[in-house]
Amino acid sequence: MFKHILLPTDGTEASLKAARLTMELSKRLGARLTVLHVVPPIPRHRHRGDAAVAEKLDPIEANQQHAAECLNQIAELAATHEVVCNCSEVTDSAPYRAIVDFARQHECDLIVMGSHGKHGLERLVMGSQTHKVLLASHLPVLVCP
Amino acid sequence: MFERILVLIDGSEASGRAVNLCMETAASLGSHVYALHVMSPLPTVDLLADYIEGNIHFTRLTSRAQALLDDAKRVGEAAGVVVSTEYTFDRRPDTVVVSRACARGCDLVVMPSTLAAHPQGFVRDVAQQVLLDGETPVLVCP
Repeated sequence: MFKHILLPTDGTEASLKAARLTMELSKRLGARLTVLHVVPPIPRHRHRGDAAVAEKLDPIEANQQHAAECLNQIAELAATHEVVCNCSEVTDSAPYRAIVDFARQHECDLIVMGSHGKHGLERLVMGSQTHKVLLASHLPVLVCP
Repeated sequence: MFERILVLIDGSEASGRAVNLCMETAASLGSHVYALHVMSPLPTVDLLADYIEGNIHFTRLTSRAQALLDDAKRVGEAAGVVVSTEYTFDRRPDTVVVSRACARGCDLVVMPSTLAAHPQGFVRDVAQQVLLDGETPVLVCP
Protein backbone atom coordinates (compact mmCIF):
# COMPACT_ATOMS: atom_id res chain seq x y z
CA MET A 1 0.00 0.00 0.00
CA PHE A 2 1.11 3.61 -0.33
CA LYS A 3 3.95 4.46 2.05
CA HIS A 4 5.18 7.77 0.63
CA ILE A 5 2.86 10.23 -1.09
CA LEU A 6 4.07 13.18 -3.15
CA LEU A 7 1.79 16.23 -3.29
CA PRO A 8 2.90 18.85 -5.83
CA THR A 9 1.31 22.23 -5.19
CA ASP A 10 1.12 25.46 -7.15
CA GLY A 11 -1.05 27.42 -4.72
CA THR A 12 -4.26 27.09 -6.72
CA GLU A 13 -7.67 26.03 -5.42
CA ALA A 14 -7.27 22.75 -7.34
CA SER A 15 -4.04 22.05 -5.45
CA LEU A 16 -5.72 22.84 -2.16
CA LYS A 17 -8.56 20.42 -2.93
CA ALA A 18 -6.02 17.74 -3.77
CA ALA A 19 -4.18 18.57 -0.54
CA ARG A 20 -7.29 18.07 1.62
CA LEU A 21 -7.88 14.67 0.06
CA THR A 22 -4.23 13.76 0.49
CA MET A 23 -4.26 14.63 4.18
CA GLU A 24 -7.13 12.27 4.81
CA LEU A 25 -5.60 9.53 2.71
CA SER A 26 -2.21 9.92 4.35
CA LYS A 27 -3.74 9.71 7.80
CA ARG A 28 -5.86 6.64 6.96
CA LEU A 29 -2.99 4.76 5.36
CA GLY A 30 -0.25 5.96 7.72
CA ALA A 31 1.75 7.19 4.75
CA ARG A 32 4.57 9.72 4.74
CA LEU A 33 3.79 12.94 2.89
CA THR A 34 6.09 15.21 0.91
CA VAL A 35 4.84 18.50 -0.50
CA LEU A 36 6.64 19.87 -3.52
CA HIS A 37 6.56 23.28 -5.16
CA VAL A 38 8.32 23.81 -8.49
CA VAL A 39 9.76 27.29 -8.94
CA PRO A 40 10.13 28.52 -12.49
CA PRO A 41 13.63 29.80 -13.25
CA ILE A 42 13.96 33.50 -14.01
CA PRO A 43 15.49 34.30 -17.44
CA ARG A 44 18.85 36.02 -17.05
CA HIS A 45 17.72 39.18 -18.80
CA ARG A 46 15.04 39.74 -16.14
CA HIS A 47 17.38 39.65 -13.17
CA ARG A 48 18.04 43.37 -13.25
CA GLY A 49 15.27 44.66 -15.50
CA ASP A 50 12.45 44.76 -12.94
CA ALA A 51 14.79 45.91 -10.18
CA ALA A 52 14.87 49.28 -11.95
CA VAL A 53 11.27 49.86 -10.85
CA ALA A 54 11.53 50.57 -7.16
CA GLU A 55 8.09 49.36 -6.09
CA LYS A 56 8.42 45.98 -7.83
CA LEU A 57 9.94 43.03 -6.05
CA ASP A 58 12.96 41.26 -7.47
CA PRO A 59 11.43 38.40 -9.52
CA ILE A 60 13.59 35.84 -7.73
CA GLU A 61 12.38 37.15 -4.40
CA ALA A 62 8.79 37.15 -5.66
CA ASN A 63 9.08 33.51 -6.72
CA GLN A 64 10.59 32.53 -3.39
CA GLN A 65 7.85 34.37 -1.55
CA HIS A 66 5.18 32.59 -3.61
CA ALA A 67 6.87 29.23 -3.00
CA ALA A 68 6.96 29.87 0.75
CA GLU A 69 3.27 30.86 0.73
CA CYS A 70 2.27 27.72 -1.19
CA LEU A 71 4.23 25.42 1.07
CA ASN A 72 3.13 27.15 4.28
CA GLN A 73 -0.50 26.85 3.23
CA ILE A 74 -0.16 23.09 2.92
CA ALA A 75 1.98 22.78 6.05
CA GLU A 76 -0.78 24.52 8.04
CA LEU A 77 -3.36 22.18 6.57
CA ALA A 78 -1.19 19.21 7.52
CA ALA A 79 -0.86 20.52 11.05
CA THR A 80 -4.64 20.77 11.46
CA HIS A 81 -4.99 17.19 10.24
CA GLU A 82 -2.11 16.04 12.46
CA VAL A 83 -0.19 14.78 9.46
CA VAL A 84 3.59 15.05 9.36
CA CYS A 85 4.78 16.39 6.04
CA ASN A 86 8.07 17.48 4.52
CA CYS A 87 8.10 20.51 2.28
CA SER A 88 10.48 20.86 -0.66
CA GLU A 89 10.98 23.21 -3.56
CA VAL A 90 12.90 22.70 -6.76
CA THR A 91 13.59 24.99 -9.71
CA ASP A 92 12.74 23.72 -13.16
CA SER A 93 11.26 25.18 -16.33
CA ALA A 94 9.21 22.00 -16.80
CA PRO A 95 7.24 21.34 -13.60
CA TYR A 96 5.97 17.94 -14.76
CA ARG A 97 9.55 16.73 -15.28
CA ALA A 98 10.62 18.02 -11.87
CA ILE A 99 7.68 16.26 -10.22
CA VAL A 100 8.35 12.91 -11.91
CA ASP A 101 12.10 13.10 -11.20
CA PHE A 102 11.54 14.10 -7.58
CA ALA A 103 9.11 11.22 -7.05
CA ARG A 104 11.62 8.76 -8.45
CA GLN A 105 14.59 10.14 -6.50
CA HIS A 106 12.71 10.18 -3.19
CA GLU A 107 11.05 6.78 -3.66
CA CYS A 108 7.48 8.04 -3.60
CA ASP A 109 4.81 5.53 -4.53
CA LEU A 110 1.88 7.83 -5.26
CA ILE A 111 1.53 11.31 -6.75
CA VAL A 112 -1.61 13.35 -5.98
CA MET A 113 -2.52 16.36 -8.12
CA GLY A 114 -5.41 18.68 -8.84
CA SER A 115 -6.97 18.51 -12.28
CA HIS A 116 -7.43 22.09 -13.42
CA GLY A 117 -4.72 24.56 -14.34
CA LYS A 118 -4.80 28.18 -13.36
CA HIS A 119 -4.38 29.66 -16.83
CA GLY A 120 -7.29 30.72 -19.03
CA LEU A 121 -7.83 28.01 -21.62
CA GLU A 122 -6.34 25.33 -19.41
CA ARG A 123 -9.29 25.69 -17.10
CA LEU A 124 -11.42 24.12 -19.82
CA VAL A 125 -9.31 20.96 -19.84
CA MET A 126 -7.35 19.01 -17.32
CA GLY A 127 -4.32 20.98 -16.08
CA SER A 128 -1.52 20.69 -18.61
CA GLN A 129 1.09 19.80 -15.99
CA THR A 130 -1.20 17.13 -14.53
CA HIS A 131 -1.72 15.67 -17.97
CA LYS A 132 2.02 15.62 -18.63
CA VAL A 133 2.71 13.96 -15.28
CA LEU A 134 0.14 11.28 -16.16
CA LEU A 135 1.94 10.63 -19.43
CA ALA A 136 5.46 10.70 -17.98
CA SER A 137 5.00 9.03 -14.62
CA HIS A 138 5.77 5.41 -13.86
CA LEU A 139 3.94 5.76 -10.56
CA PRO A 140 0.20 5.77 -9.88
CA VAL A 141 -1.21 9.30 -10.10
CA LEU A 142 -4.35 10.28 -8.19
CA VAL A 143 -6.03 13.21 -9.90
CA CYS A 144 -8.62 15.18 -7.96
CA PRO A 145 -11.21 17.26 -9.88
CA MET B 1 -13.25 8.09 2.49
CA PHE B 2 -13.39 6.11 -0.77
CA GLU B 3 -16.23 3.90 0.38
CA ARG B 4 -17.05 2.65 -3.10
CA ILE B 5 -14.35 2.27 -5.75
CA LEU B 6 -14.93 1.68 -9.46
CA VAL B 7 -12.10 -0.10 -11.27
CA LEU B 8 -12.02 -0.15 -15.08
CA ILE B 9 -10.59 -3.39 -16.47
CA ASP B 10 -9.34 -4.11 -19.98
CA GLY B 11 -7.25 -7.27 -19.58
CA SER B 12 -3.87 -5.55 -20.07
CA GLU B 13 -0.88 -5.86 -17.72
CA ALA B 14 -1.50 -2.32 -16.52
CA SER B 15 -5.09 -3.31 -15.82
CA GLY B 16 -3.86 -6.23 -13.69
CA ARG B 17 -1.70 -3.84 -11.68
CA ALA B 18 -4.63 -1.43 -11.36
CA VAL B 19 -6.82 -4.25 -10.01
CA ASN B 20 -4.16 -5.27 -7.45
CA LEU B 21 -3.71 -1.67 -6.35
CA CYS B 22 -7.45 -1.13 -6.18
CA MET B 23 -8.00 -4.21 -4.02
CA GLU B 24 -5.11 -3.28 -1.70
CA THR B 25 -6.54 0.21 -1.30
CA ALA B 26 -10.06 -1.14 -0.77
CA ALA B 27 -8.80 -3.61 1.84
CA SER B 28 -7.00 -0.80 3.72
CA LEU B 29 -10.01 1.52 3.61
CA GLY B 30 -12.81 -1.05 3.95
CA SER B 31 -14.27 -0.13 0.57
CA HIS B 32 -16.61 -1.94 -1.78
CA VAL B 33 -15.28 -2.41 -5.31
CA TYR B 34 -17.26 -2.29 -8.54
CA ALA B 35 -15.31 -3.82 -11.42
CA LEU B 36 -16.31 -2.69 -14.91
CA HIS B 37 -15.24 -3.93 -18.33
CA VAL B 38 -16.27 -1.91 -21.40
CA MET B 39 -16.03 -3.41 -24.87
CA SER B 40 -16.43 -1.79 -28.25
CA PRO B 41 -19.74 -2.79 -29.83
CA LEU B 42 -19.58 -4.76 -33.06
CA PRO B 43 -20.71 -2.91 -36.20
CA THR B 44 -24.27 -3.90 -37.09
CA VAL B 45 -23.30 -5.83 -40.22
CA ASP B 46 -20.69 -7.83 -38.32
CA LEU B 47 -23.13 -8.40 -35.49
CA LEU B 48 -25.74 -9.72 -37.90
CA ALA B 49 -23.22 -11.96 -39.64
CA ASP B 50 -22.06 -13.26 -36.27
CA TYR B 51 -25.66 -13.91 -35.27
CA ILE B 52 -26.21 -15.95 -38.40
CA GLU B 53 -23.04 -17.90 -37.68
CA GLY B 54 -24.24 -18.70 -34.18
CA ASN B 55 -22.90 -15.76 -32.12
CA ILE B 56 -19.38 -17.18 -32.09
CA HIS B 57 -17.58 -13.85 -31.83
CA PHE B 58 -20.11 -12.37 -29.44
CA THR B 59 -19.86 -15.39 -27.15
CA ARG B 60 -16.07 -15.22 -27.24
CA LEU B 61 -16.15 -11.53 -26.30
CA THR B 62 -18.58 -11.96 -23.42
CA SER B 63 -16.80 -15.06 -22.12
CA ARG B 64 -13.51 -13.19 -22.08
CA ALA B 65 -15.17 -10.27 -20.34
CA GLN B 66 -16.64 -12.53 -17.67
CA ALA B 67 -13.28 -14.27 -17.18
CA LEU B 68 -11.54 -10.92 -16.64
CA LEU B 69 -14.16 -9.87 -14.12
CA ASP B 70 -14.01 -13.24 -12.34
CA ASP B 71 -10.22 -12.85 -12.02
CA ALA B 72 -10.70 -9.40 -10.49
CA LYS B 73 -13.30 -10.79 -8.12
CA ARG B 74 -10.91 -13.54 -6.99
CA VAL B 75 -8.18 -10.97 -6.28
CA GLY B 76 -10.68 -8.95 -4.28
CA GLU B 77 -11.97 -11.89 -2.30
CA ALA B 78 -8.41 -12.94 -1.46
CA ALA B 79 -7.91 -9.44 0.00
CA GLY B 80 -11.21 -9.59 1.88
CA VAL B 81 -12.93 -7.08 -0.38
CA VAL B 82 -16.53 -7.28 -1.59
CA VAL B 83 -16.55 -6.99 -5.39
CA SER B 84 -19.47 -6.58 -7.78
CA THR B 85 -18.91 -6.80 -11.52
CA GLU B 86 -20.39 -5.72 -14.84
CA TYR B 87 -19.45 -5.80 -18.49
CA THR B 88 -21.06 -3.70 -21.19
CA PHE B 89 -20.67 -2.52 -24.79
CA ASP B 90 -20.06 1.16 -25.54
CA ARG B 91 -17.95 3.26 -27.89
CA ARG B 92 -17.20 5.73 -25.14
CA PRO B 93 -15.87 4.09 -22.01
CA ASP B 94 -15.56 7.46 -20.28
CA THR B 95 -19.32 8.09 -20.37
CA VAL B 96 -19.96 4.58 -19.08
CA VAL B 97 -17.48 5.09 -16.24
CA VAL B 98 -19.04 8.41 -15.25
CA SER B 99 -22.60 7.09 -15.41
CA ARG B 100 -21.83 3.90 -13.48
CA ALA B 101 -19.77 5.79 -10.89
CA CYS B 102 -22.69 8.17 -10.39
CA ALA B 103 -25.33 5.40 -10.32
CA ARG B 104 -23.33 3.27 -7.89
CA GLY B 105 -22.20 6.14 -5.67
CA CYS B 106 -18.53 5.52 -6.34
CA ASP B 107 -16.15 8.12 -4.92
CA LEU B 108 -12.96 6.89 -6.60
CA VAL B 109 -12.26 5.55 -10.08
CA VAL B 110 -9.17 3.40 -10.69
CA MET B 111 -8.03 2.77 -14.23
CA PRO B 112 -4.97 1.42 -16.03
CA SER B 113 -2.75 3.80 -17.95
CA THR B 114 -3.30 2.06 -21.27
CA LEU B 115 -6.65 0.93 -22.54
CA ALA B 116 -5.87 -2.02 -24.80
CA ALA B 117 -7.84 -2.82 -27.92
CA HIS B 118 -10.26 0.05 -27.68
CA PRO B 119 -10.85 2.67 -30.37
CA GLN B 120 -10.60 5.41 -27.76
CA GLY B 121 -6.86 4.81 -27.55
CA PHE B 122 -4.84 5.88 -24.52
CA VAL B 123 -6.74 5.63 -21.27
CA ARG B 124 -5.17 8.84 -20.17
CA ASP B 125 -7.62 10.48 -22.54
CA VAL B 126 -10.40 8.43 -21.03
CA ALA B 127 -9.14 9.52 -17.62
CA GLN B 128 -9.21 13.12 -18.81
CA GLN B 129 -12.80 12.76 -20.04
CA VAL B 130 -13.85 11.13 -16.79
CA LEU B 131 -12.29 13.99 -14.84
CA LEU B 132 -13.93 16.61 -17.03
CA ASP B 133 -17.35 14.93 -17.05
CA GLY B 134 -17.49 13.83 -13.44
CA GLU B 135 -16.57 15.01 -10.01
CA THR B 136 -14.83 11.80 -8.97
CA PRO B 137 -11.08 11.50 -8.28
CA VAL B 138 -9.30 9.18 -10.69
CA LEU B 139 -6.32 6.99 -9.83
CA VAL B 140 -4.38 6.19 -13.00
CA CYS B 141 -2.04 3.21 -12.68
CA PRO B 142 0.86 2.67 -15.10
